[in-house]
Amino acid sequence: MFDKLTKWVLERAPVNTEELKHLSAEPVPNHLKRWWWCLGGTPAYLFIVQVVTGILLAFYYVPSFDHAYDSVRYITEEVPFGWWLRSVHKWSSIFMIMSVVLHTLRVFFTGAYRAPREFTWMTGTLLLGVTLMLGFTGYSLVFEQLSYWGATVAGNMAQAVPVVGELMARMLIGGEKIANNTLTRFYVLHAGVLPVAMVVLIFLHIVLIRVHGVSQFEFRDEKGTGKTFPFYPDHFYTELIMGVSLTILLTCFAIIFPAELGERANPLVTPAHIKPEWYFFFTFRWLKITGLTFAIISTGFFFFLMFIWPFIDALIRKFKPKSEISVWIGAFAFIGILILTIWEAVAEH
Amino acid sequence: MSEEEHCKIKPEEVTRRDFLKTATMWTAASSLGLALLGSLKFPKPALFPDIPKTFKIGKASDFPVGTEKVFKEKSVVVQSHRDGLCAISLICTHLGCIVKAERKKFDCPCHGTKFDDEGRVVYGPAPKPLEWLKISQLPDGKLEVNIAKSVPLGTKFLFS
Ligand code: HEM
Ligand code: FES
Repeated sequence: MFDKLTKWVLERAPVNTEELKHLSAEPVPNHLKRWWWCLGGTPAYLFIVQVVTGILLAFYYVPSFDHAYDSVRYITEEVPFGWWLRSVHKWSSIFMIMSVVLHTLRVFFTGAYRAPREFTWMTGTLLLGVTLMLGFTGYSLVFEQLSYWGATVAGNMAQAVPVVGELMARMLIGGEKIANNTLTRFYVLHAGVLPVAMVVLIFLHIVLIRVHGVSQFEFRDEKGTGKTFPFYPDHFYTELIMGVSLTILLTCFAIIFPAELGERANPLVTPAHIKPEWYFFFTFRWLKITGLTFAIISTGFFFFLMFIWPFIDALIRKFKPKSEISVWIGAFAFIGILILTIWEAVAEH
Repeated sequence: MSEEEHCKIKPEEVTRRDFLKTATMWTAASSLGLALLGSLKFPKPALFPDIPKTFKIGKASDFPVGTEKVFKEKSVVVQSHRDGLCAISLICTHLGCIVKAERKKFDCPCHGTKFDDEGRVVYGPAPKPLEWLKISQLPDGKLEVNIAKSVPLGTKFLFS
């Protein structure tokens, strides 16, 4: 019965199963057995969670100045399992950002961005940017006080960018002030443009990884063995275990710390205690301790440097072969961001 | 000069096929470019010019020396001093949060800029002092504040 069905389907959709098996069993180096090397799959899995929960949330969410907040309250308080879906979406976004950051660190400190993998790194930094933007636009959609003032600050930051700022801010906000236009724009970005960009970038990222293979890396206890194992089923199952554990973890967090709903957005009063989500603490603190234009230009420059780092690293190594100065620069930058983040987290103001 | 010499492009160098190929490519590329430009204009919002820029604050006699009134809807505070009236915007010049008007100072909750009683930056990242707004008297004696017109810091409105 089943064989007949398979045969019938294969006649109509002639897939070469042998080829498929061969393709998916690509040997990957042994160090991929280490959990630290599975971090790339984590955000990919979490993104799928975001798409599913996000589509469900979109059934009830209304992106308008007057109804956004109430629709989120409706989801949280009245729709069956609404609070749970919202909480999973929220926690999954947090985990996603954490895993993207950890994955970036792993790639950076193992030098896996070096030739010929520059494009893989560049698509990766774009993915980091898209993830952060998804977090920001999603947070703004809730339209509570912190969403509103976060969006106001971000809009004015865009405006402070030299030359193109005015246009950028107006495009983002959809006018001079945060209003109806802003929410629909953020919604289009959050649930349309950015997820599509994410899918395209993930696709490119994975094609590039597949073409170059995972970077070779030898651990002391594996020296010279050159051991490999097949991607499917071995590595696939490793990722599956990560996925299952994450699902359990997400549900636990969603139940123990459900997503809350703050005060409704009020354009006339900025609340006394204002903080963004933790992943923007570093920019927030940077804005406090440096002048406006400098803060914006330096942040932009930082991401630009990060984007083209493989080429800068190559340039350094051209003049000083074998130099590992990149590791020190990376450590310096990361510790800097960490200090700004912790500073903001513990500071009252 | 024969016609052959006059023509720069020799007929055998560009075939009809090549010409059509190039022409199609350029037509497609330029129409795509124009379409893109057009669709970029679409999300660029029009400005709404009819948002009122001025609002009435009452008569001069409503402001005996020493009064301070916050117009929350407009994010403006109006103070009456011995030498005249002033209207100070409560919108932080850093990134647009609403500052809190306290006794003799203004504090911004967002990145912690502190302004003195006249709106000068005492501490924090704001690049400019708080804006002073133009006050004028209407023919009927009422006063109005124009939130789109700023005046130099310290300019007081003297009423007769
Ligand atoms: C196709 C993908 C997605 C769709 C359709 C979607 C849709 C939505 C919707 C409708 C909301 C508003 C309802 C609510 O606040 O609970 C929302 C909120 C949010 N989204 Fe998404 N989303 C997607 C992907 C993502 C991704 C990838 C991230 C982050 C990495 C993310 C982060 C957030 C955050 C932080 C919130 C606010 C959560 C809260 O406080 O409740 N979303 N999303
Ligand atoms: S908005 Fe007032 S200090 Fe940043």
